[in-house]
Order: sequence, then structure tokens, then C-alpha cells
Amino acid sequence: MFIVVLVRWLLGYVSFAGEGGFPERFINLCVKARIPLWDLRREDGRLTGKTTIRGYKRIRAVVRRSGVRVHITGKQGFPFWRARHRRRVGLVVGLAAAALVIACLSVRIWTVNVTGNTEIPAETILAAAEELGVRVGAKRSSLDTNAIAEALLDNVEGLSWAAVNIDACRAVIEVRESTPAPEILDTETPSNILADEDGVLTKVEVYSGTAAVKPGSAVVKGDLLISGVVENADGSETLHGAQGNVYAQVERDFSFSCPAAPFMRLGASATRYSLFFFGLRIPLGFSPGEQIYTVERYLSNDEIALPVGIFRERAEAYNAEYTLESPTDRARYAAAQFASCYAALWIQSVILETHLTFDYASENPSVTGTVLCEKEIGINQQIFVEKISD
Amino acid sequence: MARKSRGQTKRAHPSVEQALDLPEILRSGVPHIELQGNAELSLDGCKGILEYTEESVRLHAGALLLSVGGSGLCIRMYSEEQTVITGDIRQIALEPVTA
Repeated sequence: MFIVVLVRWLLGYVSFAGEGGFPERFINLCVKARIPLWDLRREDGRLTGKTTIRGYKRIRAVVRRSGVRVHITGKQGFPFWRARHRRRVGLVVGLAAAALVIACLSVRIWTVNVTGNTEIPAETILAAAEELGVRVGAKRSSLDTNAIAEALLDNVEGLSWAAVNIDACRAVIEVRESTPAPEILDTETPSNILADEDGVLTKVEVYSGTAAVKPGSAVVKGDLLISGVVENADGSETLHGAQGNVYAQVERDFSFSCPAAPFMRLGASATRYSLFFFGLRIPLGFSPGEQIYTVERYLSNDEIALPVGIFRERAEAYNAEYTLESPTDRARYAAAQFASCYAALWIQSVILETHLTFDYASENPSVTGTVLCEKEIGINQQIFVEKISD
Repeated sequence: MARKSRGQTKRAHPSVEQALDLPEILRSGVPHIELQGNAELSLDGCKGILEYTEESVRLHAGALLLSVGGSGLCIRMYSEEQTVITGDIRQIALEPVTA
């Protein structure tokens, strides 16, 4: 029914009222003359109804034969609307522009999304796809999706499968990542495990090779901990890749204070905004300089971002010197530095004891002390062997 | 020999129609009437309007005369193919057309 109403509106129609004569004859004659009628009503002896513009033009002969006096009560539809607004050029231009924009934009890509990736960043895949022509504003008909999918596999390392699906104005790049081959432990190359730093050994775990030290021994950096040379039962020796873990108590000295050299902070900065419309970037001002970072904001709902937005480019120079004047700020700086270092040590090792002195009353506050921690100190070092043929 | 006028369909012999067990609706001259509740009546094969007031509509439907009674009756659509009457339909009467 909506289509009928739409077609009638597009072609235009006339509401009329008829009085006197023979209304039934009038209706029958109209149908015989192929004059379409609808919404016919009888109200207080009057006949009201609607007909097309062409139908009303042909109604005179029917009126004469039926004796019904007919007059127009209303004109509806696009032809009448157009006639009323024919002097409004802007409206016509706007409608034409809207039709043109819709016609142009419906053949282009609006959004490009990536699905199925877990390790490889979507930005990497999008950058590779952009090089292959899959970008916002690209013509849909110009994209050979099969060729692009194959090229993506070549260009992006770590992909095992890729497909480019064009769904209306959206391009969806579906990918599957390849499973990386497991790391093969090298047990063939002869090697020793040496101490990476000074400490007192707490635990020695040997998986391959011969232990050269025992728990409780004190070692210095470079000492042999596990030897790759293994003595066989017959007295001969063979070379292996030494494997194992050697843990030791290690002491760390800390000393943090605020440096005398000035810090650098944000000096000059400049910002430029750009309008983004279907791949076209319109800068609103001069370039802010070098080393810029860009914040892109698109028109979007929660699911889909349209290729329309505003970009903010900002260049910042950290060239203004400053020093921490107050002792409180200096103390806070020293404490923050210590906290950061202590947290890193806590992640790498097991902290056993901490002895600290926080001198915050002096002019230059400082944090000094030692931390005793247990950590793995062994590092692998290859044994270079010269093969002598018989 | 008289030629058959355009639009006039040749009717099968009643015995043939009976033998084939054709539904009544396929027979020529039999109107097809549909009623949706008491709000809308559609009639296929209306030959003309005999009477039309706010309370009653009488239609010539081939072999039958169809009288529709009610209030606020409106001829929503009227053409040779289909006629649709809407309103508060209270009664429908069918009478055979007498020669």
C-alpha cells in the first residue's frame, strides 16, 4: 500500500467534491472512461473523492453526462509541491547535490576493519592493505579482493590465511595467524654456564653438564658454575651444552637523589586541525612543524566509524629547562626514582632484605641503602671447539 | 457468422465444469468477495455501482447484486478489477440478478 501511496504522491492527485446529479452514474462513468477514483465518500449528500491530475482533466465529459457539479478541494503530490517551490533554487540545488553525493559515496569504501588477528596489530594489516588499495574512499569496483588477499599473505609476516570481503560500503579483512614454530633448545653446541654477577649461591640445578660449584659458595662475575665438559665412566670426556639454573644471593646498592642538571619540559607547541572526509584530508591551518603526533576522531556510533572526522596534529618541543627548587619536590623525585627501580628488582628476583636510609631533611634529599635479593645469575657461554680431522 | 467481442470469455459447458470439479470461483460471472473483519470488503469483478450512500452500497457483481450496509462507508478503491469498501460494515446481502 505504501508503494501505491508513494506513486500517487509522485504523480500528483486532486481531491474533489461533487454535488447534485447522479453520483452512482458519475462513478460508473468514470470507471468506464478509465478515470481512477479512490477514497470515495458520501457526506451530507456530497460525494468526495480523489483522482489523478490526468483523470481530473478528463472528468468534464463525465460530469456533463451525470449532472454532478464537481470542484477541486485540494491538490496534493510532487507536481504541485514542485510548482509551489519552483523559485527556491537552493532547494533544488541541495536535492541535486544530495543525490550526487549519495550516488558518488555509495560506490566507495567507507570503513576498513580487520578481524581474526590476535598477535599481529590491526595497524600493520591496515597499512599493508592500504598499500594494496584497500583504503577509505577507494572505489569498490577497482578492488580485486582475491588478488589483495593473496598479496596480504606475502606482505604481512605471520598470516596463514586472509580474505577481503566487501560488504556494501564496508571492507572487512579477515585473517588467521600462523602458529609460530616452537623454539628448539640447542643441546648440541658445547657451552658452559658462567656467573653473570657476584653473589653467594643458594641453589644449583643441573640438567646437563657438570656442576662446578656448590650451594653456599661465593662466586664473582665470570666464575664457572656448570661445565659443559662431562667425564665418562671410561675416563674420556665429551662436550655438551650445559643446562641448568644457578640461584644466588645478590646485594644491590641504591643511591637516588635529585640531579643538579636541569630537567627539560614542554616548551613550544603548535596544533593544527584537519577535516577528514572519505580519504580526503583538508588542513585547517599551517603545518605545526616536525615530529608531530596525530589524534584521529571519527564520526561513529559504538560499532561503526564513518570515514568522516577531525584530526588534531600537534608538534611539541621539550626544550624549556627547569629545576626542582623546593626540598619537598626533590625528595619526591628521589623517592619516585627509588620506587621505580625497586619495583623492577621485585619483578626480576625474590627480595630477601632491604636496608634503606631516607634523608629528606637535608637540602638535597636522597634515598640510599642496600637490597639483598635472590636471583638466577647463570649465563650461557659457548665453548669454541676446533675440529681436527684424522 | 457473428464474431465474439473482445474481452468476452468462452464459458465451458456446465457438465464439463462439473466433471472437472472446478471451484466455483473459476467460473465466469461469479464474483470473488473477501471480508476482513467488519472493516474492509473487497470485491473482484464489480460491474457497477447501483446505489451509494453513507449507510449502504449496492454493487452489481456479475451474477449477483451485493448490498453492503453499515456506517461511514467509503469506497477506498474502485476499478474494473477490484473494488474495496471500508467502514463499519454491519450487513451484507446477496441477491441473484433477475433478467
